[in-house]
Amino acid sequence: MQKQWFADSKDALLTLGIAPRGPETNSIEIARKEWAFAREHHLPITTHMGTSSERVKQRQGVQALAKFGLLGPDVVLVHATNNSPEDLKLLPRPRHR
Amino acid sequence: MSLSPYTELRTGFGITPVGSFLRAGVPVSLSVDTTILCGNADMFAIMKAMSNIENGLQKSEFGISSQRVLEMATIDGARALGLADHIGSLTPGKRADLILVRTTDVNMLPFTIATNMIVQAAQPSNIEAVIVDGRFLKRDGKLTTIDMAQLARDTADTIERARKEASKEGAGKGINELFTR
Repeated sequence: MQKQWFADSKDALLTLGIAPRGPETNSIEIARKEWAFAREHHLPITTHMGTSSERVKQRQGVQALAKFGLLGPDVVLVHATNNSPEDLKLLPRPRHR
Repeated sequence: MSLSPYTELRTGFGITPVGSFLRAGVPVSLSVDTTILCGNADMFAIMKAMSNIENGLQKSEFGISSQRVLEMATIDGARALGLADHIGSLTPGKRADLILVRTTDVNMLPFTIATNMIVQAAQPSNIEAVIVDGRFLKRDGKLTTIDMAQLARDTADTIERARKEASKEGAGKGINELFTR
């Protein structure tokens, strides 16, 4: 897919990324495999988190991502409306600012 | 972090707590999400919603500045994607990505502080031109690469086809299992 649809350069207007369902929708085991694939292929990752407080309580998705090293500058979390202050503390802070 | 306030409100995720992310030092960018949920791809509306939600949550007219919101919509989005060396600000050496906003339309009068006008007053109909990587995609208020009449026909065909597929017997079977997994 990368070769067929996306130029192999940051100068391209479209670049490939991956949007797995993430540990609040899927199991953390599946998420770990998806993250590993994305990182092996240098693809940025985005996933939806914290969309309901029940789901956050059940799954503790941010804590699971932190525990397995699945957060970082290549990962964008979307929404996070219901994540806790403790979750926020686990998110990496960028160095350049 | 990327926040899509219209999806978060529309679907009942909650009121976007943008200030709590910013105060915690979490980098925040803004996103449209899918237009099926949020209705349209209006970044002006998203900026205004973000600004007004934060002021409302803080119970302060000056909870967040227009400058900060504009940064979230531009350079912080580029940083989130790891593309800030190439895009996200008007800087020599970066790509020529810019929009020209008319300041003479009725909703932009009287034109005062540019940043405040962009975040609080501007709307898509004020856009005179869009330039992506030096190429005009909109000029004199008209899209240069898209035939709107053809696009309208194509989307009508697509939704008609989707409706037919969905009305077939057995269509959508298993969808509940998919979404409750």
